[in-house]
Amino acid sequence: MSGERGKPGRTAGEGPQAAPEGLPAGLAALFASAGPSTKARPVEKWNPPHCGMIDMRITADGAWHYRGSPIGRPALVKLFASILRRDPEGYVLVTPVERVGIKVDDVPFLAVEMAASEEADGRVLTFRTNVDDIVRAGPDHPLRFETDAKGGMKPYVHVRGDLWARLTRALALDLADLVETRPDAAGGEIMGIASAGVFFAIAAAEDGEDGWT
Amino acid sequence: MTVTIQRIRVDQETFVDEETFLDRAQQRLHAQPRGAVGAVRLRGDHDLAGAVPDVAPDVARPAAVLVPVVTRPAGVNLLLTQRAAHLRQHSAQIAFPGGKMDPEDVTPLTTALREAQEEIGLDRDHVRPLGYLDEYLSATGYRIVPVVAQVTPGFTLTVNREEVDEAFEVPLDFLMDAANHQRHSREWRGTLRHYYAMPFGERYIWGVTAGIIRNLYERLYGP
Repeated sequence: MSGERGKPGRTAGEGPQAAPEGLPAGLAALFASAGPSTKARPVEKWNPPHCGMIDMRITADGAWHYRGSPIGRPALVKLFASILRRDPEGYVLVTPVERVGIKVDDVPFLAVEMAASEEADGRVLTFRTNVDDIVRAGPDHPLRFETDAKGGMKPYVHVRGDLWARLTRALALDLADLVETRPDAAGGEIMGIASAGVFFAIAAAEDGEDGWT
Repeated sequence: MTVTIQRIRVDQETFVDEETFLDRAQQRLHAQPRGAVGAVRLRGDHDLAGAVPDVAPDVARPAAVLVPVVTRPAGVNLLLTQRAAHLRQHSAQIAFPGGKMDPEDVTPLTTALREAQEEIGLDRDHVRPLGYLDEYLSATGYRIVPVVAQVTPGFTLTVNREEVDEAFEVPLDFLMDAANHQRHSREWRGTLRHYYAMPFGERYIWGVTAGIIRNLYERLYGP
């Protein structure tokens, strides 16, 4: 091999993602930081036979590993992400002709950036994932909340199919600033986060509002 | 790497392969720690700012880190640690195994190997030193000797929870691609600091660790 380093494999993209016109600054910045996306394939339409597991694993930190070694090419990770589906029996990579199982420790994606904008239906939270999907939390992309072993709150946002992204710790903290309380049906109050006209309730953590870590 | 899934092309040429890496390490790393002699090029937190170091190199305390490169059949990776969240200094930050030189440490290599053993239980039988990067002067007053070493697979790690939360690997394919080196700045103690950041998934690699990785890139894979 010569002294030249190899070419970065940025071939999987389909061009920069077009940001809608007239975006507020925060949202425009979020689009600007997204690399080329690899458009999700129509995996829901494919039904090839299951061909067993391959030695691929997504750890809770969002890293994809193949044969015990993390994959270092964002373009390759995006490519795999574009053919990922969650079936009742687990996560699979699917093509028109085959379907192979992979291991996912928590959820496959991480939400790494967030922008809040004011729109006709109130505040909208938009997220960018580690594989550069951009999702708008709301009726089509709900937020959900879980509690980790130490009682900390782990927020997730829906991406597509049954694929979710966990918010990074840094984003979880930002989101914590947006928690509000609303009256619930029983006459009490309920904590949650509003986005695109939907209020996503946070199940009361046992130790109350100290649950954010 | 090649993954056999038909119809979707998943052959990907890795540009950091074991042979090239070892070859370049041998040619382009320092054979001895630099800094013992006069005019060395000190890398450090002052680097990107183009400023003078805020700690005089001669009063900085000597320290060493191990830059462990794991050569696996599926790829060449850097082994890093996430420091324990309860530590007072640099808590939960991503770091190389390492620390300050103890009086009984004969050389920086001794320090690096000892710390790797103490922090993550890395057996030195799996560690083959390859050479040294430039000394790195941290804003916190250490002059750090980075020892680059090959780590052969088959090792097991025992993480010392007092110091480290986790050990994990990040591919050099990612870290040696300058497109993944972000430059940031923030104000700290009244001056604007510049630093590198290389977020990999949720692993936010920045500061001294990113600076040393950048130095590895410049020596081995830079233009």
